[in-house]
Amino acid sequence: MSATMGRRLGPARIVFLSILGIYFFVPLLAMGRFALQRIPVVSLTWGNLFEGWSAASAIDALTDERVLEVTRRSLMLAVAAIALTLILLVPVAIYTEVRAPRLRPLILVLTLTPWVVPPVALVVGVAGTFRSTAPWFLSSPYSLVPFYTLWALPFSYRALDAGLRALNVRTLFEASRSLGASLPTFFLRVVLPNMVSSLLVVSALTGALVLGEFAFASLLLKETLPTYLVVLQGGDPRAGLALALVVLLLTTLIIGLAAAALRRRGLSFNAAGI
Amino acid sequence: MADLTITLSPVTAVESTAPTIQRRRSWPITVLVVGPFIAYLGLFLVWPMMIVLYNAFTPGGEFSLSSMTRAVSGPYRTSFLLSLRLSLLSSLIGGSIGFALALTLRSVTRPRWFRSAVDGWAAVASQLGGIPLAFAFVAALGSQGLVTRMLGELGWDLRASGFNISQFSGWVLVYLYFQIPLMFLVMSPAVEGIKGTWEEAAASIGASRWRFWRHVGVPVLAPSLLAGFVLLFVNAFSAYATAYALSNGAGQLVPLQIRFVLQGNVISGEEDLGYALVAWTVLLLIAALVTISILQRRVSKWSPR
Amino acid sequence: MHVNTRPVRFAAALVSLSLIAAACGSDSDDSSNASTETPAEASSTEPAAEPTSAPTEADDDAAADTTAASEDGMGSAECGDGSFESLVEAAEADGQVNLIALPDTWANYAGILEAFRTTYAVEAPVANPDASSADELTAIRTLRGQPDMPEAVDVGPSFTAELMQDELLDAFKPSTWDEIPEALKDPDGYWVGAYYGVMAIATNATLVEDVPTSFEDLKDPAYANMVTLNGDPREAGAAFAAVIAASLANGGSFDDIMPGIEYFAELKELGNLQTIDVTPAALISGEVPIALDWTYNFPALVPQLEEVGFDLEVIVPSDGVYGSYYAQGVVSEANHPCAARLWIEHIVGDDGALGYLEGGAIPARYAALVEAGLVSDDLAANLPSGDVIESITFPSSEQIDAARTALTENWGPMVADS
Repeated sequence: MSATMGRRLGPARIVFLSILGIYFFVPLLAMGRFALQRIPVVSLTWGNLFEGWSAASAIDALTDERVLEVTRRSLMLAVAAIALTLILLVPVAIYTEVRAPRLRPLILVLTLTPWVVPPVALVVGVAGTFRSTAPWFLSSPYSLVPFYTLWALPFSYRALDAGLRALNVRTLFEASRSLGASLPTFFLRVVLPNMVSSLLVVSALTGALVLGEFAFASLLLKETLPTYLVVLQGGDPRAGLALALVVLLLTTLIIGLAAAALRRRGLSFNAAGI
Repeated sequence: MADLTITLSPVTAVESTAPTIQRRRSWPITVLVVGPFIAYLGLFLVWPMMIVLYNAFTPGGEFSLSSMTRAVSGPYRTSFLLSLRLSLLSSLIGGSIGFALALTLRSVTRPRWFRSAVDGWAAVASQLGGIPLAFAFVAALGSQGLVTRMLGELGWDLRASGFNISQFSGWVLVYLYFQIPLMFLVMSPAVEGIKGTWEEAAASIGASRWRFWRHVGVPVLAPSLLAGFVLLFVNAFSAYATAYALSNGAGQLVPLQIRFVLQGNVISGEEDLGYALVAWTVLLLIAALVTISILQRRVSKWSPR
Repeated sequence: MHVNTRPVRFAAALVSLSLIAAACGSDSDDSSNASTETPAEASSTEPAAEPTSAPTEADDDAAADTTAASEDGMGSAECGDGSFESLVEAAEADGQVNLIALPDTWANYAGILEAFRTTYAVEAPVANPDASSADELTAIRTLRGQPDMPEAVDVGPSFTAELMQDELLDAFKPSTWDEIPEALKDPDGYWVGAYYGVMAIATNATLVEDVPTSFEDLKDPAYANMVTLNGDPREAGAAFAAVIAASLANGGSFDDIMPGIEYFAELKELGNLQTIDVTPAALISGEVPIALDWTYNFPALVPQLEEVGFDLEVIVPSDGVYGSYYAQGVVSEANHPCAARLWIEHIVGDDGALGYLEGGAIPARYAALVEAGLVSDDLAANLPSGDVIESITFPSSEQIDAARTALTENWGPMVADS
């Protein structure tokens, strides 16, 4: 099959991938250099290319108590957002696929709308609602969680949907029903085990989103890793940007490892497919 | 009371057109499964949107279209055009490159770590934005950027050639940084669904690669491609932190205008205008989504399902 | 059975919403498709919400009855008997004040906060240090009545009118009230301008050979793509001030800022105005060779600039001197009203004032400090010259409002979009 056709990359593909590689990595390299080398570009020469490097401020930032604290909080938020996403969306996605396929286009459109309403408008509307009905809500940092889930909706729903369609759940459902399986059994024993890769993709993307989201958190005055990074960049740009780079690479590494683990099991990291 | 929730949740409403027998038998499950989701959407999405729409059409407390009219005239019209231009360009270019990347990597299986690394990177890069991303590009391509300097040493003056990272061309370049990986993520599953056997079958009856893609590959992928472009378009339209961190000229983008106006930065008491801008954005993008889903339905008769 | 009150309330809210939806004629046409799902759905929406589960912290209860109204200044009954000591006592009983939008590098706020935290037993967390004045207002409105609502503001002069109009401020006259010039306080004590700064041209003298000293100089083709504003003047106070300063330099006045807008339009057309923002990263990387910003925004960055071998020269333009203050006030209905008052007391008191001086900002009580002999040469090192300080006058709030309107109407078409 396809392995026979495209295992080796032709020269055109190699050129294309190289150009993309340069595009994606040079800006990061430039930022990393700024963060770690104390020589401005204008006075950079071949002679001093290896001078002035220092990771001191980056290491200071990494071991800063506050950084550890906001990192922990952001990770908790990420976990909560992932959990909420899965609890809310998995049943709906399955239900739509099995019982109400006609709803699917509508839900797909609906799940895109969070990207349409800008955070500031959403916050105005939500704050107005909760201030009178549940004032305790907005004062907890966890009030961010539903927004993160909402913000992730366009791709998280699609990823689940793609996974389910690939499974052909409707046929599976009919089959398991004719075998007398109850709905919970069908759900827990048939669908979930087969959706590992979709669930992982949703988790990865949602986690990446939480670790990068700034607008909601800053509007609601919550201190998360991304908002604290901006604060840090204001005081010590080098440390702040170095830390941003570290967060970026670590997240990539974690998601990459997860994808590799999937691949080893013969599953594909089928991301937010449409 | 029973009727009212439905107002907020078109999903349930449409769902009630499903066969009634099935519904009656399973409605507790329906409620259990779809209820929380609907409630969640109603509370965090539909409700705020309703407030926005209400405010947009009732400036000063009475029904009027004045805010809606103002929101698409003068400087605000310019804003919409600018945002549209940026979103269209970045989604077309980013979408094409992302699609090409998905095709290129379709059958790359080794080195084994390579594909996993690309997947992990794409997941993170598609969510990047704001100050770090903007500064990465400034550090590379700004007037004091590393690449600018290197090109200068080679005798190519980037600024003189008309490129400026903090102007429109620069914004597009930076937007591609998250648009390309997003399209790649979105298209990979569909692209991998094109079976190698089809291609071999086509080759065996003498069809060229080009003919295969022209008559099989592209028609099969068309619905996904369309949806991917729309996703990118919406993504670009709503993103602003990156452009704003790059350039205060990006204050003209629609999402930033909305922020300006809603926070009373421009002239206080003009919040209605902000809501009208939001309403237009919502209407515009919903129109785009509807158009695309109609188009999708038209082209999807070729696709397997 | 308060469990049932939730769905009912929720439904009541839904009634009004659906009415709204109907009134707009928006997408509510499917409302006739009733179903039996509603009760279950409504109750599942707000699982644990009981009206009684509002804030539980002890402070809040104490604060609730003290927030009402406090028109009088120092003698406000809630925060002691009017003496400084009793204010401190009441503030320490509050234990905390929620601050917002005070960046460490801005006017030495790092030092001022440090002094406050060590002098008094009051926690002083700063939320969103980089927030704009507009963000502060949004935060107060959004978080009103909650434990983390901001309790003291630091906003540009053009925001005080809105704050007072919406009754977001409490009046409070600190003990040093009489030493604060009339122009730097609200007559009723709703705000004080604890510090002010002067618009300056900061030049990276390592990158730029001839350091410009006036707005006129900036038109020189040698400065192509170098001149940088700190933000969009329609949003950012510092950029707004740069426009007024440029206006003064070009024959305008507080009543007529058009020459300033025309000046920047010309600068843009000449290709000298670059559109990136003035950020520490941009300054340190050299991306911003010439910045227009407040004098007090640079001292904190000088060590980092020196580290990479950049020499920064901060010059008050010879043809357009413009100074402006930031206004501080106590937010109404604060959970920690006394601690918020103590914060105001601190920043206009000697400690705070000398802290501002250290950061290159001019404290409101500058004259009184000089008289008391507290301003040493070292402290004055970051300040503009005495002549400059004396020549500063402030526009009235009406003039600022008019200038803002003119800017809003003209900046887009004449500069940003052209």
